[in-house]
Amino acid sequence: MHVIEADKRKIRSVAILGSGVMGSQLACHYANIGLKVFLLDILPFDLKEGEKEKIQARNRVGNTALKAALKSNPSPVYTKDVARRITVGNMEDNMSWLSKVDWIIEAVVENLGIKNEVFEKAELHRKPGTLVTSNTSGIPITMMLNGRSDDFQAHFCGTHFFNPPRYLPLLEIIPTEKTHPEVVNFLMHYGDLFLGKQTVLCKDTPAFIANRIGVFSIMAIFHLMAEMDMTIEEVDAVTGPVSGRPKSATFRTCDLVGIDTLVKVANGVAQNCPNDEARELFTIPDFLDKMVENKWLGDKTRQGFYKKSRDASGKRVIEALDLQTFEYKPKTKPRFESIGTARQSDVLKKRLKILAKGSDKAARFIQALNLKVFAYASNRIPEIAGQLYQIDEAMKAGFGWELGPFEAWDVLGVSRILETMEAKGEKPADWVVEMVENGVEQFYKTENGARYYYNITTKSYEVLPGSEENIVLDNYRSNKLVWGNKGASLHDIGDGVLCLEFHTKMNAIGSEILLGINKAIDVAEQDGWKGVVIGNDAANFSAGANLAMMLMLAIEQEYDELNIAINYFQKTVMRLRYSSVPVVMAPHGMTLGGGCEMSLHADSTVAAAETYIGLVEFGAGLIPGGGGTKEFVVRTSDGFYEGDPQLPSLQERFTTIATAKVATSGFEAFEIGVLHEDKDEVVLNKKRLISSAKEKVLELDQEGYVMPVKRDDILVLGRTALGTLYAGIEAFGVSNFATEHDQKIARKLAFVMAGGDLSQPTRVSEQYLLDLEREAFLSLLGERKTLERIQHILKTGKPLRN
Amino acid sequence: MKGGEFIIKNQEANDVFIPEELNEEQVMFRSMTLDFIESKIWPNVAKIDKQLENPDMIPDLLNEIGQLGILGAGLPEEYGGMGVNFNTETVLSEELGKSLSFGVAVAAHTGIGTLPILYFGTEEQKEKYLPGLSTGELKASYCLTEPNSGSDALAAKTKAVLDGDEWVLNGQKMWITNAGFADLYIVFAQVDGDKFTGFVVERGTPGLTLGDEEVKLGIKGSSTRQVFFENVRIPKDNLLGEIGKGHRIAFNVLNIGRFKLGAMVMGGCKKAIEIAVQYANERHQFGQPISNFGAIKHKLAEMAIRTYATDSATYRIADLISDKIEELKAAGATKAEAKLKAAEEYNIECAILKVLGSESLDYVVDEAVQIFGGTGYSEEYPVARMYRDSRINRIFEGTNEINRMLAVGQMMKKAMKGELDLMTPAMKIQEELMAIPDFGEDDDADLFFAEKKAIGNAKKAILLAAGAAAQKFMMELENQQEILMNLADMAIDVFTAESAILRTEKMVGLKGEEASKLQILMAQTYLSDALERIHMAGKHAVAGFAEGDELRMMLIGIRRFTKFDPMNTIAARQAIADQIIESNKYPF
Repeated sequence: MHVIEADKRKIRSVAILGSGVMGSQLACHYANIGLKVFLLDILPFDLKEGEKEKIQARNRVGNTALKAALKSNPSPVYTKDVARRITVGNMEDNMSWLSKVDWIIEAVVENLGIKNEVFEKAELHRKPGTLVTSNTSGIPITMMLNGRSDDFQAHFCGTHFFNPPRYLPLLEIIPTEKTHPEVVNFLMHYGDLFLGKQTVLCKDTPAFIANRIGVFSIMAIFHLMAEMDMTIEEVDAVTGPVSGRPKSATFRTCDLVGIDTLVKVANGVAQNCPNDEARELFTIPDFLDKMVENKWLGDKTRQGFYKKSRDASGKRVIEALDLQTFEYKPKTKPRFESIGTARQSDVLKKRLKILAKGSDKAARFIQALNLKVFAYASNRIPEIAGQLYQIDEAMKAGFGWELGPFEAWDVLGVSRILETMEAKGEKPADWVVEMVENGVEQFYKTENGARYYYNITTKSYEVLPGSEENIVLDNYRSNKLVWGNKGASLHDIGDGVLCLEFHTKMNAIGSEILLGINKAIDVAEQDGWKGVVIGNDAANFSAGANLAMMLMLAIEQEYDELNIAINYFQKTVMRLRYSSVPVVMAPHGMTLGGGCEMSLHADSTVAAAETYIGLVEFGAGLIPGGGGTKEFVVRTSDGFYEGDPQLPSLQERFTTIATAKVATSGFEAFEIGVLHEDKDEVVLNKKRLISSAKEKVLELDQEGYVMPVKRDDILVLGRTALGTLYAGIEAFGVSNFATEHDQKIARKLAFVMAGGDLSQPTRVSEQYLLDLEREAFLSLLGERKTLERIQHILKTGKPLRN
Repeated sequence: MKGGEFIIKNQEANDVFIPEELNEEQVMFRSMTLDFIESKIWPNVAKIDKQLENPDMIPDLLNEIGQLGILGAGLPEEYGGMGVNFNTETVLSEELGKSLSFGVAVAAHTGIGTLPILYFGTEEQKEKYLPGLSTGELKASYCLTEPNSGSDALAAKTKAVLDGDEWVLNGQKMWITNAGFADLYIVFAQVDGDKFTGFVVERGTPGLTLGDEEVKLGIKGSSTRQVFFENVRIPKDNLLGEIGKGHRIAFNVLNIGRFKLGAMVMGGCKKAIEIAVQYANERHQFGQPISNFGAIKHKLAEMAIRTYATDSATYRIADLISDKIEELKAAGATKAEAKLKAAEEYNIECAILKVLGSESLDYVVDEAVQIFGGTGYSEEYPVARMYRDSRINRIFEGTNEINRMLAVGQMMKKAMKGELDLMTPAMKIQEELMAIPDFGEDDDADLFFAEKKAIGNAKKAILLAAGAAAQKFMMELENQQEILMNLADMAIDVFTAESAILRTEKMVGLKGEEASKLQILMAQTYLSDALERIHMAGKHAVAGFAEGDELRMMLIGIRRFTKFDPMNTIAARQAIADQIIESNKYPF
C-alpha cells in the first residue's frame, strides 16, 4: 500500500458528509480557501410522493442547511461568491462523487452506528489514497476503524474543528494507531498553512484536549463556587478578561456552547475515564440537571444561565440565574477590590500577579481554580497530549484563553505554586516536581526570538514548533530594540528586515506612531536594512487616527495645529510609498480609517484572512484625510483603459467611501478596492502573517526595489464628475437615505474626488489632491455635527447619523 | 464641607464666615489686644530684641497679658480659661501677629506648649497645670526637634526609660522656643527604642540644662535654646498620653498651630502695609509723595490683595473648624476633643493656610522694605525687623515644603480611604473634555458667575493633573515631590481664590456692590493671577510624567480649564492702592 508523502499530497476537492451546523460551515470554510466542495446529506424524511424524482427536493436537507449557514452571522464565507464553489447532493444519489475527491470529511450525527454506516457506504466509492477524517467530538476515533480496509484505516484520522470553524483557530488532529505518519504530518501542516488553523496533535481520549481541560475547568468552577458561596455574576467577573479569559467568561460561554453539550461531554469523561484522578468533579451538579430538564439550555433555547428580557418599562435587561432560589434576577455588577486593582493594569501578567496576591473572595476563588486547573493539566500528560505546549495551544486556540495553563503557571512562579498546591492538597504530576528538583524553573523560555518548551520525554528545552518560522513579537521583547518610543517599537526580525510594532490604545495612530513610521524608514534607508514590515500581534492592527486628540483640538478651534497634524499624517503615509526601501504592511483584525489609508500606500499589503478593513471616516463626519481619498482617485485613474466609461468607476469608488464600506475579510478587501491584485495578498493563518510580510520584503528587495516616482499624471474629471456626483447626493437626500449632514460630507468628498471645480478633465499631482483632502477635512472639523459624530464614536464605538 | 472637599465641591457664600461679621465680643477682644500691643510692645520692640540684655522682658509681658486673660482665652472655663469660641481665638491670633518676637512667644506658649496637656493630659495633669498656664503663671515650651530630627520628627533619639516609679530621660533638643524662661517643657522621647511618647518635665528638675541663646536671623527677642536631658528623672505620672502615641500629640497640635500661624501672619501683613503706606505718603521724591507713583501703587495694592485673600481664607477655615466643633460637641464630645478632631478634619486646609500665610507675609514685608528704600535697610526703622522676623514662618511649624506635600498627600489618602470621592469627578472630566461646548454666551446675570465658573474649572484642572499623576505613579506618587509641589500650589491657589470670591460675594450681600467695589476688584485680580499660576503649575506637573499625544491632550484640557477673560489689573491695582493711600492704613 502506497501512501503519498505529506509534502506531495495535493487537495483540489473535498466532500463533506452531513450538513448540520458544523458540516455546512465546514463546507463554507473549505470553499473559502479555494477548494471545490461537495456537501452531502440524507434524503429529507418528509419527501412527498410527487417530489421523489426531483433533484432539488432530494437535496433539500443540504440546500436548506447551506442557505441558513450563508445567512448566519457572523458570516462563514469570506466573500459572497465563495458559495458558488459548493455543490449540494445527497447520500442516496451522489455517493459516487466521492471517487473524485481528495478528502472526505464525516460530520454526521454523533452516533457510532450511523457513522459506521456512512463510512461503509463511502468506502464503496472511495479511491485508495483519499483522506477520510471525522469531525466527531465525543466518539473515540479508533472505534470508527471497525470493518474498514487497510487503506482506509491508514488514511483515517480525527479532525476536530471548533464552532464556528471559520473563526475559531483550533483544529485538533487525532490519529489512531493505524493512521499513517505521512497522513498525520500532512493534516498538521495543511491545517496550519492552508486552513489557517492552530493544529494540535491529540491522543484518542474522551474530549481530546481542549474540551477535556475546558470542561474540567468549568466543573471545577461549579464545585468551587458552591464551596465559596459565589453567584454566577461574581464568578464571571473574575473569570473574564481580567484573568485572561474571553469576555464570555464562564457562564456566558456555557450558554453559547449549550448546556446539553456541556453535560454530554462531562458525562463522556466521567464514564469513559476511570483512571482520571479528578473524575468525581465531572459529576453533573443538581442545578445543571434541573436546567436540562427545564430545557434552559442556553442560547439555543434563549435562556440558560443568563436570559435576555424586558423590564416593566420595556427596556432590555439581562437577567442572571440565582442558583439558590433558581429564579432569574436582574444581572448585578459585583465589585471586588482585587479585580478593581488588577484592572488598572493593561498587562495581563501584572493582573494575574495582583489577583494571586489578593485576599478577597474573588482572588481566593481564582487562586483555588488555578491550582486545580494546573494540577489537572499536568496530570493529563502523556494521557491526552505528548507535551505540555499542546495543551496550552489547544486552550488558547479553542477556548480563547490568553495564556495556556502552563504559561500562566510560569507567570505565577512554578515552584511557588507547587508549594501552595502542597499546602492546599492539590496533587500535581510527578514530572513537574521532578523538573523543578532538577533546577528547571520554568516551562517555557525565550531566547533570540525563538521560544522553547520543557520537553517531558527528553527532560530538556526544545524549540517550540513554529516558533522559529513564525515571527511572534513577544519573543523579541528581551532583545534590544533598534528604536522605540511610547507608541511604537522597532524590532530586528532577522535577515536584514525591520518590523515596526504599534502599541497604543486600540493602536490609534497619533504623533508617536507617526514618528515611529518615519523613524523606521529613516533607519532602514540610512543603515542599509532591506526593508520594513509594519505589523503587530495586538487584537487589532489599528482602529484609525487619534480621534480624541482631533476632537479636542477642534473644540479649541486650533485649526492651525490641526492643519499641521493632518499634514504630518499625509506626509507620513506618503513616505510609506516614497522611500528607497520596500515597506510591507501586515494588517489583521480592525484596520480602519488611517490604518486602511496606510495599507493603501504600502509597497505591498499582506493581510490576514480575518481583517476588517475600510475607510470609515464618513461615520465620524469626515472624509479620509490621510491620503485615502486621493489614493482612491489614483486607483480610479489608473484603472481607466482607453475608451472605458470613466464616471461609473469613480462613482463606485465614491460610494465605497460615502457608505463607509468595510470588508469583512482580507479576500473581500479586494472586492471593495482596498487591496490590489497586483501587489497585495492574503494569508490564511494569522500566526504566519508577519513572517509572510517579511518574506514579501525580501522578495521585493531581491527583485531590485526602486523608489516609485511621484505622480503628476492623475486624471481627475472635474466638473463632469462633480455634476453627476452632486446629483446623486441630492437624490439620496430627497429619498431620505442621507441626512443634511451626510450630504454635506458627501459633497465635500465629491469635490475632492473630482479634483475640484475644473472645467475639464485634467492631470494633477498627488499633492494637489492631498491639499484638497486636507482642506475638506479641516472644514468638516469646524462643523458641529461632525464633532458630535466624533464624540459619539469615541463614547460608544458606533457611528452616529445626524 | 468635609476636609479637602473644596477640591470637588463649591461652597456657598452664605456658608462662609467673613471678618465683616465679627460680633461685639470679638471686636472687643481685638481692640483689647491691639491696645496692649500698641502700648506695651511696639514702643519696646528694639529692647525686646536685645534679648541677652533684657531676658525678663518677654516673661514679664507674658504675665501682664496673662492677667488680661488673653493667654487662657481659648481654654475651657473649668481650668481657668475664658472658653471663647474658635472665631474669637482667630481674631486674637491676628492681633498677636503684629507683635513680632512677643507674638511668637505667646503662640508657642498657648499653642504647642499648652494644648498637649489640654488634649492629652489626665484630669490630674490638667488640674495641676492648666490654671497656671492660663494666667501665665506657668509658662510652657515644646521640645520636639533635635539636631538630627527636624522634618523627620519621628527619628528623634531622646530616650525615656522606666525605672521603678520614675522615667529617666536622656537626650538633646534644639531650637526650642521659650526655653530660657519656661516652667514646663513638653518633651518627646522614644520608649523602648521606637515608641514615640510625650512627657511633661518641670523646670528645675535635676539634669535638665539649657544651652546658650541662639543668635538668630530674626525674632531675636524670642528665647531659643538647646535643652539637654542628662538622666532627668520625672515621676511616672508625668507621662503625657499613651506610650507610643506621642505622634498623635505632635501632629494634632501642629494642625492647630498651622492654622494659628496663618491667622497671625495676617496681622503682621496689615501692620506692615500700614507702616509702608504711611512712609509712602510722607516721603517725597521728584516733587511728590512716592505714593503717587504707579510702581509704588502696584506694590501697595498687591500687598493688600494677598492680605485680603489670606484674610478670607483664614476666616473661612476658622468657620469650618468652628462649625465642626459645635457639631462634635452636640454629639457628645468634650470641647477639647471636639477642637482636636475638628482641626484634624481640616488638616489639609490648615496646611494650606500655613503656606499661604507665611509666603504672603514674606512678600508683604519684602515690598515694605522696598517701599522704604534705603531707610528700609536701617534697623532704626521697623520694617527691617519685620522683614527678618517674618522669615521663620516658612520654616517652623512644618516647613512649607512639608506642608505642601502634606496637603496633597492627605487628599490622596482621603481619596484612597473613600472619604473623598475624587474618582467620580475625575471621570466626569474625561467626558467633559470630549464634550462640545456651547460656543454661546454665558448668562452673566449673577455678579460672580464668570469667576465661580472659572474656579470650578480650575478645580477640574487640578483633578485632571492629580488624577493622571495618581494613575501613573499609584503609591509611588508620594516620592514625586516636584509633582506634589505643583499640585499643592494649584490647590492652594484655587482654595484662596475661592475664599476671596466667596467672602466678597457675602460682603456684597451685606453691604451692597458699591460699598464692596474695591473688594470685588481685589478678589478678581487675585483670581486672574491665580489662574495663570494654576495653568503653569499644571503644565509643569503633567509634562513631568506624560508624553506624546497623552501629554498634548492633558495640556489642552488644563488650558481650557484655566481660561479667563483678561482684565485690566493695572487699573484695578491703582484703584485699590488709592484707597490704601487715602486711609493711610490697611482699610479693608
